[in-house]
Amino acid sequence: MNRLNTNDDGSLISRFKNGDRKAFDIIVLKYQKKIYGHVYRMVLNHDEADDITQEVFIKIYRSISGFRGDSSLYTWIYKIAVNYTLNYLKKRKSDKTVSMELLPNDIYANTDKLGDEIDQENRLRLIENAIASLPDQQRTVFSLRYYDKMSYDEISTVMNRSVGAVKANYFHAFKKISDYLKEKLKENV
Amino acid sequence: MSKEINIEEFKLLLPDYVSGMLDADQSSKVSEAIKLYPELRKLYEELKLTASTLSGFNFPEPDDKYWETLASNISNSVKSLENKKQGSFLNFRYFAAAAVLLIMVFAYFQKDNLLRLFISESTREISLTDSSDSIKSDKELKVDELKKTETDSLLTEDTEIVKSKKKHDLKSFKEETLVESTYEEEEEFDNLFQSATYDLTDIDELYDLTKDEEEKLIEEILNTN
Repeated sequence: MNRLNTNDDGSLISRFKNGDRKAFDIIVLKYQKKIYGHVYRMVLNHDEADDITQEVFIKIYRSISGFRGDSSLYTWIYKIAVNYTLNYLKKRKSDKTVSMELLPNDIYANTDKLGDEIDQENRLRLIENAIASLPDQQRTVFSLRYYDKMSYDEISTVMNRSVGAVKANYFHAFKKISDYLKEKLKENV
Repeated sequence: MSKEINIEEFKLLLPDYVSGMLDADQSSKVSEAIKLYPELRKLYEELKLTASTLSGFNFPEPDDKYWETLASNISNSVKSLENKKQGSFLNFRYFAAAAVLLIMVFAYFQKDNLLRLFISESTREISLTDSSDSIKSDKELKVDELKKTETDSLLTEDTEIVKSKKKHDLKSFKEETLVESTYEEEEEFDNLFQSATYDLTDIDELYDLTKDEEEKLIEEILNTN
């Protein structure tokens, strides 16, 4: 029970502010999978996700002393990760884009039915590309809502947008993925 | 209008509905709406297919070793950041210490220079004062000399006056005394007078004589006589 109490976000922040550097290591262990996961879904590349995740945590380390607790540590960490990743993507856009041309030609073979009949690899590529086709903001909302199971309120805090705008973003993202998949299926029938 | 608003609201709830992310109350409302509105039902069918594609699919996750490496990398980065920060703080401290030392050294030399300047200025001032004093003293000497000369001159003049007065007094005395004296007596007196006046040639002695002494001298002469 005590262990749980000392490892909750509030306690970790207090410990860190009191000079306990190990508290930060615990924060890293607690959030690294989530942050890496989100970043990966945004950049769709392991090496880039790895670098960005490290950078995000260094940024968190630098700023954590100024964390006032207006929001939860969880949303605050995500906010940093989301902003950092969006900025990274903006920069990267001029260098390279994830395009359909990069995918193997046989990816969409035998995709007349979604689900069981698509092998895991093809399915992975298809979904990755469907997600990659989304505008950055919609992709962020989709990742936070669908994969991280964040509430609209939390996403609203993380992205500094209204709940209504976030809901609309999520709907459009979902619809676009649906349209993308439908289109790809038609192409391969 | 009301129907359109409701459909739009339900549309926004559909992704969560097909993903099973709505609570029971919301979920039952959306189910009712789907039954009521064909447009909503069509959209639901599309999204449901997408949801089934997405469901069960997970992005590839690195193995446990990766997370250890990632945490360790972050920890090392943070440590190096701390060291850098500490190093820069130390550097700053060294720099500050060096700066203070430099200022002190500069101040020391400056102080030395200032001291030298002060000394040279003081020396110059003293020399100026000395020369001024010397000029002054020369002047004063000259003035004193002049004064002395003047005084001497005046004294000589006074002496002459005194001498003349003495002579006159003696002469008058002689005349008064020797009205009825003989020639021998007169001659003797003259001799005495000569010797007396001769004694009075010493300026200082004459100058120092007071009225009483004068009278005393005359009396002495007379007594001698």
